[in-house]
Amino acid sequence: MALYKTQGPIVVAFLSALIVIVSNFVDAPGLGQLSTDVKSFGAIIAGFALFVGLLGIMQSHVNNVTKRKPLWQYSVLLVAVLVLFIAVGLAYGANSTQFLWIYDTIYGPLTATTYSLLAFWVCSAAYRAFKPRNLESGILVFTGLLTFFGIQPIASVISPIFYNIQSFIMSVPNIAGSRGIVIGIGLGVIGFGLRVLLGWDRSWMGAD
Amino acid sequence: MVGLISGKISDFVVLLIFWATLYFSIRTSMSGKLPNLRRLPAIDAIDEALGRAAEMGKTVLFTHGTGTLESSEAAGSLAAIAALPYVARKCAQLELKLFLPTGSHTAYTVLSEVARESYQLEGKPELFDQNNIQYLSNVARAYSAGVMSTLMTQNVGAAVFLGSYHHAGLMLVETANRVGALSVGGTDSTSQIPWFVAGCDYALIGEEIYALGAYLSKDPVSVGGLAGLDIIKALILAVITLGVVLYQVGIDLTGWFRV
Repeated sequence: MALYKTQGPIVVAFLSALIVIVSNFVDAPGLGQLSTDVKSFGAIIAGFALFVGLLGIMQSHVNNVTKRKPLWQYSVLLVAVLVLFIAVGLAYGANSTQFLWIYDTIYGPLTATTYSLLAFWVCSAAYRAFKPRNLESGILVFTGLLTFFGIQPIASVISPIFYNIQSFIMSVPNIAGSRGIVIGIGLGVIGFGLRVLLGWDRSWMGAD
Repeated sequence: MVGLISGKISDFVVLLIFWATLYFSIRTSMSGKLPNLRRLPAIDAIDEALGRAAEMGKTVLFTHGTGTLESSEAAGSLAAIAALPYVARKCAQLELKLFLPTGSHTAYTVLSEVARESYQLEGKPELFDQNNIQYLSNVARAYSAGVMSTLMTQNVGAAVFLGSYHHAGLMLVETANRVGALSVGGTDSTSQIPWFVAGCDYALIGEEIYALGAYLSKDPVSVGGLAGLDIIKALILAVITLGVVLYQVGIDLTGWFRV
């Protein structure tokens, strides 16, 4: 395979990351501006990638409609709304009252509906998962019930100790556990980043 | 005048120590001294899920979450994409249809190339279908609605959820359970980890998704990197313990990390 295909992306990624990382620690003339420019390049490339993504959406859903695949009617709806948003945005601007009206009338209620489903998903996940099958799961269920009960207004009426227990659980063992996970995640990011930048991990390039 | 920025010198030194530890650990691994890895059940579960989908004549769904490649969540998405070659090649071997919905327009092209090359490497390029790779939306709710639709309409038997998720993670996991798909999930989003553990059949917690690529590929570089990370964690634990003990006797080490 051509060198520019195998090594080129690694060199570009390494140099770009080196400029941004070094600019965070070293104060040198022009380095800050160079770092800002590199980040701008990324934003510009992302804009082109958005265009490619949109073409992919159109191709996929037009294909569904022309071949009358199952639920092709929804593809018609998607393409129609996509074209409507683009047309109104280009004609009147993204901050115009017309565009915002479409956004508030169509998009707002749809996202609120999708988000509201979370309440039901939480209940079904909790019902299925929180069963005391062994000692560890029993401790999990008991602790969860204590925490849940402790924040209820009636718990304070019965005794203030429930709120204190809930506060302790949330502020001590919960924070300790989550901080450990966050530290691990941060280190994982550093290690993964180093492997990618030095070309040791090339899975993102599709290489074997 | 060129110099280190005041207040970040200690950060720079710590970063250099981390990098040096990782580098020497990877070089040791590349010289043949591979460390032993504790096997994670979720990794074996990926093979189980794909085999089950093949037996039942169902499809496979793989998604990297809502993180884009140009944001702070890029690491989680890239870690998920690092596992894609393995999953895609298995799907090619088993002649499974693989759906790759994505919430990132930048990841769309990367997923296309990775999946296409994986099918080509298995000698089955004709099984690769570009239409199965769908850029849905950068907005988490629209993305989750699209993935839920794919789960419910495409007869999915195995679902792999890896990467960064926001509130969308719970919706996807529960939908996978409703359609009877065997789900393997892992995320570095701390708010979603409990729901992945509760909802997925097999779950990876936090940094384990970064190790997934190493486990699947058994590449010496990746395995060495894991060992290096464990050494760094031991160093951090030692420094934290030392700091706590010294603080009790009136010695404050935090000033050392603000130089």
